Amino acid sequence: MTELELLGSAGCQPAVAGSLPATLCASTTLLMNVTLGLFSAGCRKQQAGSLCSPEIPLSAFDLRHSFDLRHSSFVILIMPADATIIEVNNLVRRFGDRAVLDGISFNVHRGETLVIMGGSGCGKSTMLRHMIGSMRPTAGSVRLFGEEITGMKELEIERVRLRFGMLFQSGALLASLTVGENVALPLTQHTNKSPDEIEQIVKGKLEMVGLTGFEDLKPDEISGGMKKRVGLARALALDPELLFSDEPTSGLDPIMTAVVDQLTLKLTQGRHMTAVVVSHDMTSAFRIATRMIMLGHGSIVAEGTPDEIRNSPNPEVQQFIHGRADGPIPLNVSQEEHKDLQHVRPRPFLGARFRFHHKHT
Amino acid sequence: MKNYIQLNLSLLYWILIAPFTGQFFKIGPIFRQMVFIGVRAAPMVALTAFSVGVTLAMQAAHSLESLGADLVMITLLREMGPVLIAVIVIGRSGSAVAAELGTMKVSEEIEALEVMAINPVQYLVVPRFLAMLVMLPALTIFGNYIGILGGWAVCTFALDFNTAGYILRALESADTWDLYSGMIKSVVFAWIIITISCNAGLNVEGGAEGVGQATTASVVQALLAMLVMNAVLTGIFFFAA
Repeated sequence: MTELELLGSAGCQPAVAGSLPATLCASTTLLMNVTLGLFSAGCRKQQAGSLCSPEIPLSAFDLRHSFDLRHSSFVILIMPADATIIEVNNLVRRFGDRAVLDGISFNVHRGETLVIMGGSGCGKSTMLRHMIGSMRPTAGSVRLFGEEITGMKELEIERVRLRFGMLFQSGALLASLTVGENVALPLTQHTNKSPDEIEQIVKGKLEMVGLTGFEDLKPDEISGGMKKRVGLARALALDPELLFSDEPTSGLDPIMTAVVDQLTLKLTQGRHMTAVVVSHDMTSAFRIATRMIMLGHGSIVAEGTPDEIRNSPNPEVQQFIHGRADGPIPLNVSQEEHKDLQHVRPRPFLGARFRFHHKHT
Repeated sequence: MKNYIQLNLSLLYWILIAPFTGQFFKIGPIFRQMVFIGVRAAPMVALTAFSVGVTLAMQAAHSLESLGADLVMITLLREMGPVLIAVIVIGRSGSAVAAELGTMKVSEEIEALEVMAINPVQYLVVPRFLAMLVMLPALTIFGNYIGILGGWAVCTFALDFNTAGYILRALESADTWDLYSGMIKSVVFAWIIITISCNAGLNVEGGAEGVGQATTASVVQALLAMLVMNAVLTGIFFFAA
């Protein structure tokens, strides 16, 4: 058993959850923290117990707990430090006759930073969307935290999504909210924290990404790189166990790229957060990755540690990591192939007609 | 159609069932939407309703001088009030909702909400739906008053009615059922307008072009559905009375 879940009640039954005063919740959480401390101390002392196998030292476990106010349940997760967080098995995704993902399998372990790389249109973002449950595969399975998510209904998958954060390529900030409100959104929706507490957390997260004092600006008043950093702060608002990032450093200057990389390293190494990063930025990828996967032709072309990838004899890998124009990776896809890949059919003559019209008027 | 039915079922779940499972919708966003959908549409509604009241009174004055107040009251309460104000709300608020949600869809904001475990129907559609359900009938009542005021202006200044006579005549000609039937219509119209607009916005595909097409489609579909439903409801009220 790689993951052991103890589900119990902290005295807050669902029927009274709505009216439970915040102070009672706070004191209950405190009490359970003390209980957990004693519990873990007891385990250490005895080196054995109903939950701790004598063969496995307690340091191999990461003791996590969370008090889910919405569902009023107290959750204790005890999982080995190297537990498998993501399991992708034989994943197939077809658009028409073309398989963008064709039987992909890999695992991501706790505390790892997996970088997924590959040429444009190779299926990186499609892969990511399957892992966050936004897309359903044609075949195969994706397990997150031990739960199969491909067959889950929308309301079921929300429970899993509370445990991970996602940084979108564009930041995907809500344009109608301020920067501060965007970062606060997961907290206001999923916790019963007071406005003061939320404000403090928001300030902390924004400080973490170097955007102190930007709380009151709207997304259209900040640059693209700043939006991405706000998106990162929002993804980290609930202190997730797992972070998905889609091109986290594109559009950032080299200094801010280094800051984001350092932050990722700090989170993964210091707090045992797991990260899955889709990136084209090879400097950043080699800096943060503990393992790398290169996708191509719908399958995994290469997989290994950064050093293994760097020294890979595969010409596609070498072409990609050194950014060479010449090599086995095709630069152009035919319009037929492109049509299969896109939801919207390309219309190459629209622009030409427009230019022609302008020239003669 | 499948998406539209799913949206309606999802709405019913979030409004009627979810609160009993501890998942309450927030009140603040509903008031914000009420201001956008209702309060900011009030000047436009007032101008339209006043023009209609004036026109109706003048039309009545042409042949039936003494029936000016009757025609204004009955036509406004039963038909013109709910329908015209719904048309204005479709053009102003319905299209804006479709465009806003459509833009959110193409800019990945809705996907971001889903990934944050925030249900887009609960977070985006429920406030707009409840706001529309409150504000369209409220705007209809407001528009009725302004229309009657327009009729009064014509009857008093052009036809030499006195104010007391106009009010008495208006009160005699209409009964409370006329008002209720108009209110029932406006509640149904509100449901139709906001669900069609939200559905169009949430199902946008293909960037800016898709947003434009969805906005146009939402206005056309909402108008047609509203007019057909108006005929159906008028028929029901006619045969039930």
